[in-house]
Amino acid sequence: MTSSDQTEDKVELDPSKVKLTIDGIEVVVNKGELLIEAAAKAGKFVPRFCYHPRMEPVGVCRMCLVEVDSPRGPTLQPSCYVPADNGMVVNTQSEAVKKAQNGVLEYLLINHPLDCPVCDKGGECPLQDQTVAYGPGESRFIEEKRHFAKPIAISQLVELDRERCIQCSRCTRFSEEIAGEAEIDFLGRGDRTEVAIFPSQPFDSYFSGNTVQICPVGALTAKPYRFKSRPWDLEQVESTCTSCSVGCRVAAQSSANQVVRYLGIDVDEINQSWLCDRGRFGFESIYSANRLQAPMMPISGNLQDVSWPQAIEKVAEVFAEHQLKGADKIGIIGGSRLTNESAYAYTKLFKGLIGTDNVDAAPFNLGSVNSLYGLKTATINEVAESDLIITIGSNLKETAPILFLRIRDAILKRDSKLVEVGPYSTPLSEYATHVNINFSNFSEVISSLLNGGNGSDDKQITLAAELLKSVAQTADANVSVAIVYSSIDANRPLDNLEAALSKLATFFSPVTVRFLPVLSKPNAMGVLDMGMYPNLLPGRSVLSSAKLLKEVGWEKLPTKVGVDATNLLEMAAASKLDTLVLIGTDILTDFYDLELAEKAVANVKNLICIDTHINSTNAKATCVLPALYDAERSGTFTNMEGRVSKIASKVTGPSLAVDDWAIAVQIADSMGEDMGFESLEEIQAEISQVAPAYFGFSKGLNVLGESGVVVPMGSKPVSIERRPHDPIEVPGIASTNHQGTPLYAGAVIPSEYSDENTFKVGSVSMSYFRLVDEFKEITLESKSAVSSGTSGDDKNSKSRPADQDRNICEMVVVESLMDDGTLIKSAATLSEIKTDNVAKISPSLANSVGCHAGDSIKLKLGSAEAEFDVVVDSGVAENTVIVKKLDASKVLYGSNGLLVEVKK
Amino acid sequence: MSDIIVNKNLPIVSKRLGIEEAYKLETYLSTGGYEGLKKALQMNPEDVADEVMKASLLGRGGAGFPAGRKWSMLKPARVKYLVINGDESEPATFKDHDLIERDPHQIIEGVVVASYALGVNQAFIFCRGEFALGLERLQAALNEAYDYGAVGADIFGSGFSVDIVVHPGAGAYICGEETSLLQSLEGKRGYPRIKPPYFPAVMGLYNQPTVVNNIETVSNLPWIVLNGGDAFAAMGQDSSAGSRIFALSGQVKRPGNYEVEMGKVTFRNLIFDESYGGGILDDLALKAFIPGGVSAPWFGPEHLDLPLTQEAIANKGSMLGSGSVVVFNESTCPVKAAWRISKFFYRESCGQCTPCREGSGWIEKIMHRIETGNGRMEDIDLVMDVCDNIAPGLSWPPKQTTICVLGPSIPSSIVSAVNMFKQDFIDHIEKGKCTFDK
Repeated sequence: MTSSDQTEDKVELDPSKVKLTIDGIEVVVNKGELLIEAAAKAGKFVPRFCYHPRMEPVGVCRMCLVEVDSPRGPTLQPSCYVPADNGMVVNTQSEAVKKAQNGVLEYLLINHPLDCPVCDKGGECPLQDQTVAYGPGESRFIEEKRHFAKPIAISQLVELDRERCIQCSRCTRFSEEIAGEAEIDFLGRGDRTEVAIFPSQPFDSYFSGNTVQICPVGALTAKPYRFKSRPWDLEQVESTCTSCSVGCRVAAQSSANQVVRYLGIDVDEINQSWLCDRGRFGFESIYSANRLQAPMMPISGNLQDVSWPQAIEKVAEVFAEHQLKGADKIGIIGGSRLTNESAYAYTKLFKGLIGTDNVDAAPFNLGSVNSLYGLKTATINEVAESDLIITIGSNLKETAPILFLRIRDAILKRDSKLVEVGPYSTPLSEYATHVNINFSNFSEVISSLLNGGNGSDDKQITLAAELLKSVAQTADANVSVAIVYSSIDANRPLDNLEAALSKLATFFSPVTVRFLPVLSKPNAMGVLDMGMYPNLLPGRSVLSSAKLLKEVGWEKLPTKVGVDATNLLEMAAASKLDTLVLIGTDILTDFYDLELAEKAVANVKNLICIDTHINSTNAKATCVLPALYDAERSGTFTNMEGRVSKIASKVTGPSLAVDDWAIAVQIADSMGEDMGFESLEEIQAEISQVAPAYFGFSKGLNVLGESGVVVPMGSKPVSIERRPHDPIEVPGIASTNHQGTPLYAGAVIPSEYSDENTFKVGSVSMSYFRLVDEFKEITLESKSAVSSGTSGDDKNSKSRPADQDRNICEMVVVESLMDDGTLIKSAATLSEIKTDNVAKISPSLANSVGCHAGDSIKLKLGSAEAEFDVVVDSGVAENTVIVKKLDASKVLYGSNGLLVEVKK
Repeated sequence: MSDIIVNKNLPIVSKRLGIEEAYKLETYLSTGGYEGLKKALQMNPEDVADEVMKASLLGRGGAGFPAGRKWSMLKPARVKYLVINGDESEPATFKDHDLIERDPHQIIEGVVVASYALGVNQAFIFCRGEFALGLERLQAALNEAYDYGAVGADIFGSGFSVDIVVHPGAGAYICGEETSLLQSLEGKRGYPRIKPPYFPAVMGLYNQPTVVNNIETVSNLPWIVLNGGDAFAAMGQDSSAGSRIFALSGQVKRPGNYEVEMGKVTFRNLIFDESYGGGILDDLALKAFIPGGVSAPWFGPEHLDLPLTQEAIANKGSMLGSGSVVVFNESTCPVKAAWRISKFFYRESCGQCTPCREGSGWIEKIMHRIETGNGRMEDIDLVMDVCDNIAPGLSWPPKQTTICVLGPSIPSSIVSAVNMFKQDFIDHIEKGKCTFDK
């Protein structure tokens, strides 16, 4: 809002701005900005229902009518639909406008039931609020209202009350425009119009909860929240979702000390107000009957509740022994559910005080951390603004749903090109050049892509290679490429991924290439940043650079690089490890080699589990410690971009559960050691003092911009213009006025730790945070699938990936959002959603096995056999079978490698 | 009673309506069919468009926008479309119905002429789904025209090609609104688009520049090409050039489609002349008439001598619309008539925008109450105010709070009935029944 003289001159110079008058106030706004937003800049709120700033305007509810001067006099125009233009004269308060607003509200209410006292929306209802502010006091409608049966379940999660619907089309537009799944639409016409699903097709979108959040009335409600609370009883904090590594910003709402609802916050950099259903409804898992309520230890063979002193004393005793002798006989696996602060505390306990480097919190399919820290990281916004996006690995809709939405949006709105290098077709495939890969052909495919498709008779590879070449040939530094990568498999790393990434970085020079890792565990980035991985220390530094840590009491820093999870389990299985500490990991259901995990659990002397829920592994522990979980704990989270944002507590957890960092402190105390901190703030201060990538937080991590801060911080301040948000969607979000401006960006970072250092990959000069081993150019070599197995049954043959007679195929186990892991299993509503147990195979394999879509097939590996429903997918490489990581397929995990026999 | 001299050129568009099996190619050819197209193909496309501009042919769909000017506004583009609106579904409107059933080749010829003039290679005829016979004959005619070489590739060896698709509507009045029609043609819900930016000439079918013309409009083209635009423009009066079909219905002795020269005939002629309506049914007195379809405000007997031109009618606060004249004699209950019309709009409101979706039903309910004797005195003001919230000011031409003009069409009959026959409303309310019921 500016009307000063200086600005006037500027406006004339800047063709991207227009000047108009709204209610007599002159405003300068961006050309093309909608009047409803321009009015907001003039300090005028225009009431609305259908308009949502993240969706295309449709101008249907007519609530936002304003008067716009025209040659024929003032006319009523929908302000959500008309772009601002120079010289416009707009009146948002005229008598005509007021009468129209009054009229629209009276119209909306003639068929809207006045069941507000029993409606979940009552109290936070835009229809209620705007009726009070702009509507008639009383209705003149005396006839019978429209009636529908109410409510009807349109999915396992969402219920629809058609009587309350005001046909604003927010939900139907979200489904089609944002989620790309038009599973709900209008049926009928006139005032008989109703939102409906298609016959016998439930609204089974992963994003269905968003329709509930953006519904301006109580027509759509979600089962987990129905009748749980009244809005005026809700309290909320802004927090970060920890169900995947995207780290969406959420408002966690509670009533009577119980979490009842999560809402997405419109943060431009991350989730732009959307959430996936796993993130939105997963909070129910904190109230699961499986929740650990107290420390437990086996008493005469059975796990029983014990007191904290008993448990801590036991654990401290074990740890003290390792501290004295045999720091290499203890191993720690897991931790990606931790906050950064808790991860730091554990790292300090294990690496700094006990002196072991056997800490591996990385997802089992990570491979190494070199690419994470060695490559130039893209933010999600940078990915969305790239001219070419290459996705390598998993189906983003399953592993990072909001990133999927952002990329889909970029393709549709920015016309970004997409090359999808993956093991099966995804919802992005229709916009992409999809290239089929599996473990064994990956190197070969990448080589062909970089060689203009030479040596490949796959048309898709040729097409993709041409696209890559054309982008590389622009040789334009303004052109940018984003590579979003992960393993293809939930359990195992993709061999040669690092080599492929380094080749790609070189290939596009001088075009800017940035990389975004999709980590398959939530705070994987944060806990790695805190050093929970062999050879790593907090702040992305390595064992050899421990100078700073010694000053804050890391007295026993190991000198020898530790052992990773697989090797730790092998040691345990061979009785070469005395103590195994599992932090939030259920290796007996989650580890890719279940036989190995079972042997390890059976043979290790001390099994100490620090968990939130009872699971199959901690049931066999020698000591179980109960930890706090989301909405009960505070701290920070670092997402896949390296963005640090706050996790906030809203409720108290089970009375005997303790936040992880405090568990670490208690153990250290009991060992007679001093961690050097007793509060979260002290840990945060220490992190920003000793963890190089986290330098620059002048007041500690606790004070972060609401959209978080990407570490390592740049030396230049970043400012982003505030986008309009939807004021009727998440009332009371304090951060909306501050989003987009990281508070402490621009802090000075010592040059030895700065990200300004450049290095070369091949001929490409890159800048990265260089404290880990340099990311070297690696040669692409073909490796066979079997080598991914731990003790591969080599008789299955490397050179013989497919046996035509027996249909021997490579099995890829992929992640799915609604899996049967602890979170989903423990969440009351989500656990009821059925996951289909399918095997995806290529048309040629289907042909050779003699099966069709919908048939069932058996996969046989060693003596294990499992049955699946067939999906035929041309996006699957030949001789490959894709199964989801679910209990049903787990019998196939083991040491026998990946070659399975496919039988009818 | 009549002293009008019928123009020697008449009839133009309706000349084959009385001929047996005129829908067949053979009959069509024997009555001068496809001669206009053959002539057009000898001309430059621009010259064809020029003739149409000179003809001052006004669109026959209801809005009365000059066809030549509409064509000239088509945004140049590689892909552009011509769409013919044959979704005639307003009560009392049935002129296109006849043209489709009885002279489909004339439409096809007009479409090809227009396509040639516009440089369009793909045209669609969106035909009301309920016209079962019309659809059958239109499709049969199109097939014949393809075989004859009048449609398709290299028409009559001219090198010009256009394909025509006949698309049946799925039964929604709103799809007669041009932008809804385009939505429907694209396979979407029949919802009107907001103008701007969705002016079909700029962002039409599949977001490409599109001309949408009415059936009767294009049916005039063969004659205009053959006889020249000036000959057409020489007929009629003021800007209402040429002739057009009036669909006369209601309480007249001879309802039907009558093609008359614009401006040379008055409503009195149309309703009472022996060659047209032949007078009021049962020889009762005329109570009122609707000059241009049920979207238009009503006229009383005092307007009988208005000439049939767009201007004359617009000046008196109504419209010629689609040329449907509905006659009420003194036995008609105006409350019931207005209620019936409101019921139609209620049934047909698409439901996209609030005022029309909710207002149409509310108006229908109030009108029904009054008509059936359950009205309250305040309902008269109420129904007027409910109308006012759709069409603020209740002026003519109407303002609107809605997306499309279906909304402001609803008040026309209500406001007319209340203003012209308020006593009948009061009688209904006071007597607690319809005072016209026997």
